[in-house]
Amino acid sequence: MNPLICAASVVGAGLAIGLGAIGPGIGQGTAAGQAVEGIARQPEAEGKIRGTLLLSLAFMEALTIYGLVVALALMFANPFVS
Amino acid sequence: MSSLTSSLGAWTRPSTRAAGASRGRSRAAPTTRAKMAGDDDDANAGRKKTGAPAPGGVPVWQRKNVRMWEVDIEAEFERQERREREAKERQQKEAASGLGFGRLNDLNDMNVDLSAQLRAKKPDAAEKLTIPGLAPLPGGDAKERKALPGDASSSPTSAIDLATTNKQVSKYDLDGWNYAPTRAEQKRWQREWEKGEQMRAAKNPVYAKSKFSTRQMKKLQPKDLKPTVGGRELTEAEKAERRRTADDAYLRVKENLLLTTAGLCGSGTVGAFAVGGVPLGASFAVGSAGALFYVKLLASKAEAGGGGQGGPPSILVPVILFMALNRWNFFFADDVGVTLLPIPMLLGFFTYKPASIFQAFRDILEEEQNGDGDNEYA
Repeated sequence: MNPLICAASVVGAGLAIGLGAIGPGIGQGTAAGQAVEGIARQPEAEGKIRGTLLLSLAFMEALTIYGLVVALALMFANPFVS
Repeated sequence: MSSLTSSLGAWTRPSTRAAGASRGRSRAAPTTRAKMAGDDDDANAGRKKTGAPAPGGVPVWQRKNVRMWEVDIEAEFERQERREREAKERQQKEAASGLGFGRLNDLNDMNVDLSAQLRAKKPDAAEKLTIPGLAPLPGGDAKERKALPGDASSSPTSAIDLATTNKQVSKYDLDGWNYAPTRAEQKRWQREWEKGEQMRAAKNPVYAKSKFSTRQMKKLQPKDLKPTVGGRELTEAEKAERRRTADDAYLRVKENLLLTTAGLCGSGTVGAFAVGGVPLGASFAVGSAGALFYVKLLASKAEAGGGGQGGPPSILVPVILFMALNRWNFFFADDVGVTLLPIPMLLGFFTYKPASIFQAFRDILEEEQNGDGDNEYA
């Protein structure tokens, strides 16, 4: 096992999840804030807002999951480590 | 010699009067807005604002409460030069007053221009024509006198002074626009308006009962701004109906998403078993189970308070999947004979993604089919 590859994998995994979480984090925060505001303004439309939010969260969290998958692959199923 | 003294006195006295007149004029001229106040103190205050020199000769920019951008610097330089020239002339005049040879030299010197003093005698001649018993004007003669073309104060510098400091248009006149009122101004206007409304209501009982009176306006509460239909407020039953419809829509979305994900997972697992055998199919099946669990967690996250920020940590699902894959391959793969593969497992996990896209398209299509049925929320 090459120690250089191991170290680079760990650093790469950290960067992948860390940097990949920035954008979706901002997006999720914005979406959640707008949803809460919408529910506060129009409580009767809470169900519709929630349904839209569910799909939005599914789309947004996928971006974080991509980075997470790369990080996990590097950590647990690294193809460069024999 | 005595005739010379008397003539000198005749020249000297009007010159001092002229200087006084010019001072009075220079005080009154730059500040026509000080005329509104009508006294000299306000005129002095107005002069400070316009940047005219103080009697002590202190430059404008050295005074307190004067901002640099309010100073007309060229006019100030002109004023300074004029001040210096006047001080020099005054010194010469004082040195030449009385019986001295310096004055005589001035008189003989053709370079000394005494025409200003000579012209200043005209108002004096006019004063002589006034009736002795008549009281003088209340404003004073020096102030009320208009600037004549040949007057001593109508020098080029005074013209600059007039042009630069005697602004007829206020700087707060923004070509028809006004500065936005401050909160204090708004409160004051509100108070004044309410006061006027109260007075009007006290005079007119019919107006007091109308919806425009202050008393009626104050009855308006935030609850009056609730959504209305056709100009009336929604009843509780209508609100409950709307809430029920929206909740049904959410439940429908949730169920559809879950069912679509389950369908894609099942078909994908069958296909994986058919194509790649047990290891591929098992990996896809594990990933599909993770996808279903993830969608359930996502739904409970959306239902939780905080607009999706609370609820269970759904992001942990892929972490658990990968750790399970790692542990399985490490401990049980050899015993059971099935090795899990990461790529099919990830494909199985991401089946929720096409399912959510499909659901979003279905929502859009449903809304288009229903037309503008949701416009009641607009």
